Parts: sequence; C-alpha cells; structure tokens
Amino acid sequence: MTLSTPPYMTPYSRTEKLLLALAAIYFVGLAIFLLFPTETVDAPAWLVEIQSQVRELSLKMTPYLVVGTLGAIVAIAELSSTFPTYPREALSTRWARILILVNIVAAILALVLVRITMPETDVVLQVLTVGVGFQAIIRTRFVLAKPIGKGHNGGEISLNLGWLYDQFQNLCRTQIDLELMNNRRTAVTRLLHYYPSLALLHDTAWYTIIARATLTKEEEDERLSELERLMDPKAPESFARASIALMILENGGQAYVDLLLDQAMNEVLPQDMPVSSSEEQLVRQIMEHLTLAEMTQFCRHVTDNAKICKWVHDAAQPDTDTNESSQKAAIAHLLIQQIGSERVQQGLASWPPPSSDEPGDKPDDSE
Amino acid sequence: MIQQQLEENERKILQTLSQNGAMSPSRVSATTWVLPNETMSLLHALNEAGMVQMRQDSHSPDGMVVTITGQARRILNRKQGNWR
Repeated sequence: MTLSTPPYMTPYSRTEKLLLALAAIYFVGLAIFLLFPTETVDAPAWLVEIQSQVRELSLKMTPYLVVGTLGAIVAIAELSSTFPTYPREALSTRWARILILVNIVAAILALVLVRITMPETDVVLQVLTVGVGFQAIIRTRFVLAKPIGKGHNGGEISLNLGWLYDQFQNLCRTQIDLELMNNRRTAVTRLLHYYPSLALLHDTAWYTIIARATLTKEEEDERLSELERLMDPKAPESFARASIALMILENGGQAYVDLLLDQAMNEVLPQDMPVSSSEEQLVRQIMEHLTLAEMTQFCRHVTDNAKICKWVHDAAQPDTDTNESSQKAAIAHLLIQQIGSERVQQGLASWPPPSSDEPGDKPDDSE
Repeated sequence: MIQQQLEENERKILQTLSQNGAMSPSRVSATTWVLPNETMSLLHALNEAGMVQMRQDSHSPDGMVVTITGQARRILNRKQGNWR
C-alpha cells in the first residue's frame, strides 16, 4: 500500500488539467511551427506567409511573456519567503496559484498601459520598467513627511501605492496558512498513528534535525534543545507526542513525512530505528503470557545458555523497588536480543512445556 | 567533574542511549546486561544529574521512555577517549 496522492497537494481540477495540457500542446506546436524551415523546403506559399505572421506576432508577444514571467518569479519568491518551512506545499495551494496569476496579469496590464501611453519608448526599456519597476512600485510606501524626533510613530504622511496589493497579499497569506494548517494536522495525525511510541517519534525527530544539511551548528543545537524540552516529563504525553510529530513535519517537510508514512505502512522502518513494532509486540506477548516466576523456566525452555538464564533468574527475583512489568519487559527484551524473535516465538507457542521438561533436568537455579 | 564520577554501569547506560536513541528502561537493562532494579536506580540518579530524561510513554511495554540529554552526549563525546 502506498500513498497515492500527497495530502498537501491541492488537486488540480479537471478544467485546470485540461487547460495545462492544451497550453503545453499549444506551446510545443508553436515552437515546432516557428522553428520549421519552411523557406528551405518546398512548402506552400500560404504556409510561409502564416509562419512569418506568427513569428511577427511572437516577437510582439515576447515582452508580455517576459514581464509575466518576472511577475510570477516575484510572487513565487514572496511566497517562499513567507512560508520558509513549507515553500513547496505553500506553492501548491489554490490561493498561491491565484496570487501568482494576479501578479502575471497585473504585470501584463501594466505593460499594456506603458506601451499605450509611451509608444515611442524602447521596448527593452518598457519591459525593464514594468518587469522590475512596477513590481517595486506596487510594494512601496513613500513617506512624504515624518515628525522630527523619536517616539512619533503615527504622525507620518505617506503615499502607499501598494495598499491594495498589501490587502490582497494578506488575504492570500491567511488563506494559504489555513489550508496548510489543515494539511499539517492531517500529517501529524497520521504520523502519530504509524509512529505511536515516544521513543520512535523522538528518534525520528532527532535524525530529521541532524540530517538537515542546511542547518548551522547553532540552529541544530537549538532544535535539539527544543526536542529535549518536549521530552520533559512535566509535559503531558499527548502534547509531547503531537509536538514532536509537528517538529518532524517542520524540519523534514511534507514529502519527508509522506516517505516516513509510506515506509511505516510497508513496514520498512529505517535500520537505525531503535526497535521495530514487531519486537515490542513480542515483548508484550511474553509479558501477558508469563508470570515473573515463570521467566527462568521459560528461559531454559528456549535456550541452554547458562549466562542468559542466570541473568534472567537474577532479574526475575521479586524486588519491592522495581516494577514487575519493568522486570518482565527487561527479560523479554534480553531473550529476544540474545536468542532471536523466531526462537522466542516458537518457545511461546509451545509453552507450557511438556511434563517431562522438569526443572531438575535443567541447570540449577542457583548457578 | 560529573563525567569522572560516572560508574562503569552509568557510562554503559549513557553509551547505549547515545548509540541507540530513546529506549524503554527495560530495553536499556537488556542491552547493557545491567539488572532491572539496578538499571532503574541508575537511571533515576542520571535523571537527577540531568544526564538522561525519563518520562511516561503509554506505548512502551514498561510504560517509560528514557533519552540521553545533550549535556550527557557532549560529555560522552568529549571524554570517550579517556574511557577507552
């Protein structure tokens, strides 16, 4: 079972997919048509005529394409810097697409206006003016007058040319954030489902932080300290688990979380994970099926190793200071680690042993 | 110096946690071959000294999880040569 659709991606609608496909076909077809050497082959005159007209039209359209591209680049850069933790996910949202589209359309309209009002200006200058200048102007606030001295924060007289754009940008930012929040919650919930234990979550978060190539030593230390704070026993367990899961998401990104979930769903946990869920399940089985007093006998049932059985015997001694479940879990872990899961499982399946399997036939307890 | 006061089993526990990551106390006990009662008392002492963190984990077979702190990890890394 694999994750077919990443949950952070806002799926493209059928119309959007159709438009994208048509646009791709159109541009590829246009490029082939423009580059095809009709003059050198025996092409019909009307085809040569159409090609020259299309070439001429393309030259006219190029400035609009350039300013539109510049507008899109600026919008993408703005979104990436606004959502530095989730740039890819932010760009995949519906409102991000709207913001980029508005930037493209605004830049093209600005060029149209410039070309109408200043037709004699050089086209390269027009493109530069609109492509760079227009993007700067709609984001600029001119302070015309400012009170003298410090402490006068509200008395400025200013001309905010980008007010409308600011409002629109704020709207987009809020909507993108809300959309991302839903996705973050979904990712955290799924992480908690497949990585239920704090030990697994902690180690995954730790590995995620140290594996980041772009973090400075200080940033890495700061995040590891934050992880340590989340493990504070005073914090409720559910809060610690959810916060660590969110930390994994913020440090690794959505694609990394999807990979982790994919691995967990296919039970391909990284090799450096501390313990697989199957081992923990077996530990629980042993704890449920055997009493502390039976542990020594069970050890003899599954192995002849005197050293292991001596340790199990000592560990199984009643102790008022130690929790019985801790003793049983420690013995179960030791048996699995030293003997192997398969043999322990077989031993558990054939437990209790036949009556001939008397303790007297085995090494002495007091050994 | 905290690191010089570490006993053999304390050092063994810290090295195990440093190499294996977060573990339940029972798994620490099994990995280090230190008996469960001694492991628990050593972990409590290390917790008091700020070398490990112990907290509840309902998904752990024995209900606890223990992690090594950055402080202990730094001490281990710094003094690893001296212990060998």
